[in-house]
Amino acid sequence: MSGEEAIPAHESPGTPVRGRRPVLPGIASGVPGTPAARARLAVVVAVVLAALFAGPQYLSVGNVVLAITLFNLMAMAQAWNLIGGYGGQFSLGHGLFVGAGGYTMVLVLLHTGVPVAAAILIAGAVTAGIGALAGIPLLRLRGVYFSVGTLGVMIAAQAWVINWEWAGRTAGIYLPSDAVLGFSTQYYMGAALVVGTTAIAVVTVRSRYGLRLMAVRDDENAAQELGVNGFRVKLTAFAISAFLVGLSGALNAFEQLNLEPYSAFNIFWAVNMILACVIGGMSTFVGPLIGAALIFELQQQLQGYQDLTALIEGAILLAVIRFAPDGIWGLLYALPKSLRVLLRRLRQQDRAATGA
Amino acid sequence: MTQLINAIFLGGLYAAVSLGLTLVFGVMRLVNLAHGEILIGGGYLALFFSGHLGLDPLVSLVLVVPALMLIAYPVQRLLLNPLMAHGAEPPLVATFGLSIIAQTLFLLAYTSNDRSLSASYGLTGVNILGTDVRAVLVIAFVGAIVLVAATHLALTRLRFGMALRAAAEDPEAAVSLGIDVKHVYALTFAIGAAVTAFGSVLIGVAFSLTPTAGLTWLLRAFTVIVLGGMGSIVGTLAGGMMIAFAEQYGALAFGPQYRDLIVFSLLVIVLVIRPQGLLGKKLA
Repeated sequence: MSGEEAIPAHESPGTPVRGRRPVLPGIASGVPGTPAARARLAVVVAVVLAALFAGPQYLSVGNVVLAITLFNLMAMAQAWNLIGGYGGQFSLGHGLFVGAGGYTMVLVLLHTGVPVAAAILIAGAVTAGIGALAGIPLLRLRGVYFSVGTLGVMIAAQAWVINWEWAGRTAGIYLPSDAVLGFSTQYYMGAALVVGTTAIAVVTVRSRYGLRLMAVRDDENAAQELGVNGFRVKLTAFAISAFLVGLSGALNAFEQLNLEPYSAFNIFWAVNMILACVIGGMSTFVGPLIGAALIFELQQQLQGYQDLTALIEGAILLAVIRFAPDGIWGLLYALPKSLRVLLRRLRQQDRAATGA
Repeated sequence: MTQLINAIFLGGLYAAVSLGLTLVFGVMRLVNLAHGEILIGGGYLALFFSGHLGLDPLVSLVLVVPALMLIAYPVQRLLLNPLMAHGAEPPLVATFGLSIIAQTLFLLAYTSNDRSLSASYGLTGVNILGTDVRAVLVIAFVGAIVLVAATHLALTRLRFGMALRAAAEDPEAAVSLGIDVKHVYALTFAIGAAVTAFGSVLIGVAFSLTPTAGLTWLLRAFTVIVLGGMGSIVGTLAGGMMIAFAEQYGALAFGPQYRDLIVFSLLVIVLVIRPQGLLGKKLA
C-alpha cells in the first residue's frame, strides 16, 4: 500500500542521519504513562535507594571501599553523558575537571579553616567556573575540533600544575590528616553523588532547557534559526557537567589521600567515562550506570592483568560502536519489542502454514 | 641563530610526524585519534626488525611500511568505512578504541620502559652555519621536504591522486564517476600510515618510545595541521616549523619545562581564533 510512500523522502528510514538521534524516546521523553506503571517505577526506585544507602550495614569493609570507587565512576560517567551524550559534545578533556575538583578541595582544606562539606562545594563551584571559562573558547569549535581542543586544554593544565610551586609540582599535595574520612562516610557521599548526579541529569534533560540542548545536538543551525542560542545552551551543560565531575574529583581526593598532576589530570578519566557511556548506552540515564558497573566489574575480575583489561575494554568499545551503537541499555530496552516482533512473525508464519 | 637553525630542523621532524594525520584528515575529514599509536607502533616495529635482522632503523622502513599498510587498510575498510555513514562521532570513538587497544599491546610487548632506536646519526652532529645540529634532525628535515613534495605531486599528478581528491571533494559524485570510494578511503588510510612510518623512526632515534607517548605526539601533530591549514599538505611543513619556533623561543623565554604548555596553548588559541587553520584552505 501507499503507507510508506507517505513518508517524506528525507525521513525515509534508509537515509543516514547526521549526529545522534534521540534513540530511546521512551526514556528521554517521560516517565511511564499509566499511574500503575508510575507506581511500579516509584517502588523500584525506592527499593534500590534503600538497598544503596543501607550498604555499609551489610557490606564488608572491602566491598564498601570498592563501592566508593564504583560510585565515583558512575557519577563521572553520568556527568559526562550530560554534555557528551545529550549535548553531543565529545569531550576528551574531562580529566581537567577531576584534577581541578580534587586540587581545589585539598588546597582549600590546606590553606583555610572551612569545614570539609564546604570545601567540597567550593571545589564543585570552582570547577564549574573553570568549565565555563574553558568552554567559552572551546564550545565555539564544532565536532572533532572541540574534542581535540578539550584534550589540549587538559594537557596544558597538567603542564601548568606540574610547574606550579604552590600546588606541590610533581610531588603533589596531601590531604590534611584531620580531613581524612572513614570509609562509610565516603560510601554515603559517593552514593549521594550518584543519586544527585542522576537526579540533576534527569531534571536537566527533561526540562525545556534539555529539549533545547538536544535540539542543538541534532542540528545546531536549525536550532539557531528557531531562536535557540546554541553556544549558551552548550556552555550551560558543559558547566553543569564540570560542576558534577568536580565533586567527583573532590571525593576521589578523599580516596587517594595524595594528588599529583600526572594521575589527577589524565586522559584515563575521560577514557573511563566514555567507555562507560558508549558501552552502556549514550544519551540515556541508565546506560552510563550500567556501563560503569560493567567496566568496573571487568577491572575487578581481571585484577593483576590490567593490560588485559584495557585490551578487552577497547575491543568491547569497538564491538558496541560497530554492532550495537545504542549500547547495552539500548539492546535491553529494545529487547521486549524485538521479541514481540519476532513472536508476531512466527505466529504469522504459523497461520500461513496452517492456512495453506 | 642557534635557536633559529635548530627550530628549522626540528620543524622538519614535526612535519614528518604529522603528514599522515594531514592526509587522512584532508581526504576523509576524519581525525584519527590513533595517529599517535601508529607513530609509536611504527617505532616498535622498526625496533623489532632492526633488532632481529640487524638492520639500520631507516633501512628497516622497507619492512615497517608494508606492515603498517597491511594493518591500516582493513581497519579503514572493515571498521571505519561503515561507521562513517553514521556521522562524525562513531569513527572518532572507534579510533579512540583502537588507540586504547594499541597502547595495551605495546605495553604487553615492550613494557613501559623507554626504548629507543640506536643509529649512528642519532648522536653525531652536523655543522651547519656554525651551529651543531643533530644528524637525525637533518635527515628529518630533508626527508620531510621530500615526502611533502612527493605527496603533493602524487595528489596533483597521479591518477590515483586525482581519484583521491575527487573522493575528498564530493564522495557521492566520485562514486557516480565510477571511483571506488571505499577502496580509495582505505588506501588513503594505509598511505597515511606508510608516510607516518618515517616519523616513527625519527621519534625512535631522536627521542624515545613508550607505550603512552602517542598521546602527546597526536596533540603535537594535530597542532601542526591546525597551524598548517587543516589538511593542506604543503601547510604541514609550515605548521611544523611554526611549532618548532614557538617551542624553541618559548622555552628560551619561559624555561624549557613549559614546552608542552606553550604548544598546547598555541593549539587552543589558534583553534579559537581561526578554526580553519592559519594557512590555506583545501587539500593540496
